Formats: sequence, C-alpha cells, structure tokens
Amino acid sequence: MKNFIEDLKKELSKRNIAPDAIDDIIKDHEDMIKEALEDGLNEEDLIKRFGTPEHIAETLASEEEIVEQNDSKEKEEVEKDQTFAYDLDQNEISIQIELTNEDIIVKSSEKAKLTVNIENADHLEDYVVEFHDHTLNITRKKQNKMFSFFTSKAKNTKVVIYVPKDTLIKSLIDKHTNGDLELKQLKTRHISLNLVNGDIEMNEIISEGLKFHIVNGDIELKDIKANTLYSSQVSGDLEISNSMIDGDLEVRTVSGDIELEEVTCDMFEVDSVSGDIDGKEFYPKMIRFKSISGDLNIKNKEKKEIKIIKKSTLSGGINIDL
Amino acid sequence: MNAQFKRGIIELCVLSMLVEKDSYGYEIISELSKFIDVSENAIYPILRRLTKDQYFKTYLESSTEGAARKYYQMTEKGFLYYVELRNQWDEFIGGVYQVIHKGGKNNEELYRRFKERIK
Repeated sequence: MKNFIEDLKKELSKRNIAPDAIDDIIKDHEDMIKEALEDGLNEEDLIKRFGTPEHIAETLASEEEIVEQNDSKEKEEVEKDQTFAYDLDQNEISIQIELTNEDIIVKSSEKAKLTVNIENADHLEDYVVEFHDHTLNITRKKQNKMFSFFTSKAKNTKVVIYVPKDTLIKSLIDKHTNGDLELKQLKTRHISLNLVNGDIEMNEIISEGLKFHIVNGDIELKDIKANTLYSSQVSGDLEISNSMIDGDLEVRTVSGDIELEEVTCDMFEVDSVSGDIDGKEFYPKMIRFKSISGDLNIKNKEKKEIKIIKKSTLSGGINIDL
Repeated sequence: MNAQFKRGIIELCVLSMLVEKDSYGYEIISELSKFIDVSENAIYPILRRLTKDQYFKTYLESSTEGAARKYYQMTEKGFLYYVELRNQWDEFIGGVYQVIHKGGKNNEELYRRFKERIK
C-alpha cells in the first residue's frame, strides 16, 4: 500500500498538479486502499482495480488540462460558423451528404449561388465541403466516427444548404445517424435517405423517386408530388398529407404507424409487422396488403374504387369506410 | 477496444450506479471491476471529474469499521447528464444491433451463406 501511495504522489507531483488537489487525491486513495487491504487485496489486485499510479496521474493531469483548454477556447471565441458559396454554370446539381449528428436543412432560396452554412460546429476544420462536377459533397473527417457521439457532446450543429430556385436536384443522397433532416421547396429527380435516429420533414417537394430507410426517426411529408415513394422504417412513424404519388407508394414498417391524409397514388403496397395504417381522404387505385397484426383503416368521403389486389394478414384487417 | 470509447462506457456505468444509490469510492470501484476490466481505465479520475463538474456531490459518513467514508451522491445536473448519455448509448447500441443482426444470429447459417457467396 505504501508503494502505491508513494508512487501516486510522485507521479502527481511530476505533472504539476496543484498541491491542494494532490492532498485530496492521496487522501481519497488512502481511504480506498485501506478498505481494499481489509478485503485482502494485494498490490497486484490494487493495480487491477485502481489502475497504475502512473495511469491515474496521467488521466487526472490530462483532465485538468482539458478544463483549462476549454476555458481559454471560450475566451478566444473560436469560430463556429462557416459559409461556402458556389457559382452554378448549369441548373442541375447533385447533393451527397454523409454525416453523423448534425441537423441538415436543404431549401430553395433567392440567392444566385449554391450556399452551404455550417452553424455552431465545435470542430469546423473537420467538415469537408466540396463542389465539383455539379455535385455537392458534405462529409466529416472520420477519425472518430464510430463513437463520436461520446466525445462530441454538442449535438446542435446545423448544416443549411440553400439551393437557388429553379435548380433541379438530380439526386440527393443523405446518410446520417442522429441528426434531423428538413427539405423544403425543392425540385428533384431522386431522393435517397438513410437515417438511423433522425426525423425527416419534407415540404413542397417535387420528385421522380423518393426512397427512405429509417430506423427510429419519424417522417413527416407534406405537399409532395412524386412518381414513386418507397419508405422502409423500423419503429418510426410516417405521416403523409396533401400529396400526389402518380405511381406506387410502398411502405414497410415493423412497429411504426403510418398516417395518410389527402393522398392519392396508383398502387399502395404495405408490408407491416405491427404498425397500423390510417388513411383519411386517401385514394389509392389498388392495394397490396401484408401484415402480421397491423391494420389498414381508410375513411373517405368520396366514393372511388379501390381494388384490393392482395391481402395476407395474420390478425390485422382492412377497413374502408365511406 | 479503443480506450476513449471504453472510457465513455465506464463513465456511463459509474453514473448508472449512482442513479440507484449513494456510494463510496471503494464500493464503486470494486463493484464495477467485477464486471469490467478497468485496469486501463482508472475509475477514480472519472469520479473526480464528474464531482468537479457538479454531477456528483460528496459527504462524509462514518462506517461500522470506524473511519468515515466519502460518499458520492448524484445531483440533479448529474441525473440529466446520465439521461442524455444513456439515450445516446441506447441509440447507438440500437443502431449497432440493427446492423450486425441483419443476417440473423445463427453462425452456422451465416457461415453457409458466406461460403456460398465467395465460391
């Protein structure tokens, strides 16, 4: 025990830790180690449970340092926002986003340039924004991607993309983990979204094909005109209103519910485990329905024919009320 | 395993213990080391930092063996931090399970399909 405490004292003093703090740390360890010895632990066991004195001191020292660094950073007011702007030489672009925790907004604007704003970023230098071959790429350097949520506590970084109006987005691909995504007033060909926890909100979007793969987030779509829409979700909910899908509307859900209001489409294809589907003023021409226990309920005022092409369910059902 | 990642997990474990009840240093350390190898991630510095950040406060209480023990008690701020970290953890591990369990859990079946694919 003496060795451990003395080594710890030495290691702490080596690292310029304040004498008061050293006394405190040593006192805590004396108490803890006394109990450990009463428990019958030997020197080797001590290291297994407490760590080596060197390691303890190192961690404590680096933490003192972290605190100081943060303080001085705040004083200097490190730049947290950055704007990128690009001239467009044709009115068709593609957008590719691959990020982790950021909230993302893509919307049309009166600006002549394609503009990207990164707001409230803790490490601006980590963001890579590039525009070439008519494609906008936004990524983040990946060194800590797998566990970045543990190290970067600030989750409120925002990435806003302003697309000049009348620009056609040939493809918009977004893969991200925790942030939300908002799309507003866009003309697009293909939108493909892969999110784990984020929510999606879309307003006034024209598209040939929409594709979503979402695990937990909720999706809210309003004023959408699309040829096809495919949505696969696990536990998030999907809400579509005031929208026209010319072709197929295909939804897959495990436990998420689906709500449709003022929506028309050609084929409505459902594959649900336990999620329910509620339609109000929902006019598909045909329905293919597959579920374990999920129900499909439709309440319409107008009497239009809805053909049920296929129905297979264990305990769910289809109800169409007029 | 990456040290920083593991440290985040141990921090969450320390917080989880103190959500349940007040505890003293040796108890926290010996309890945690039963389940997790902590030799490379000392717990004491985590306790100290979380106390400094006012997630915990401390008080002394005499033990049956005589000497007073320093107890750590979670503050409201600490509880909110715990909830935040816990949610992040659940989201993360949920995502990981989504990915790694996509093909199911049966190793023989996975191996069979793997062999078939690389034939």
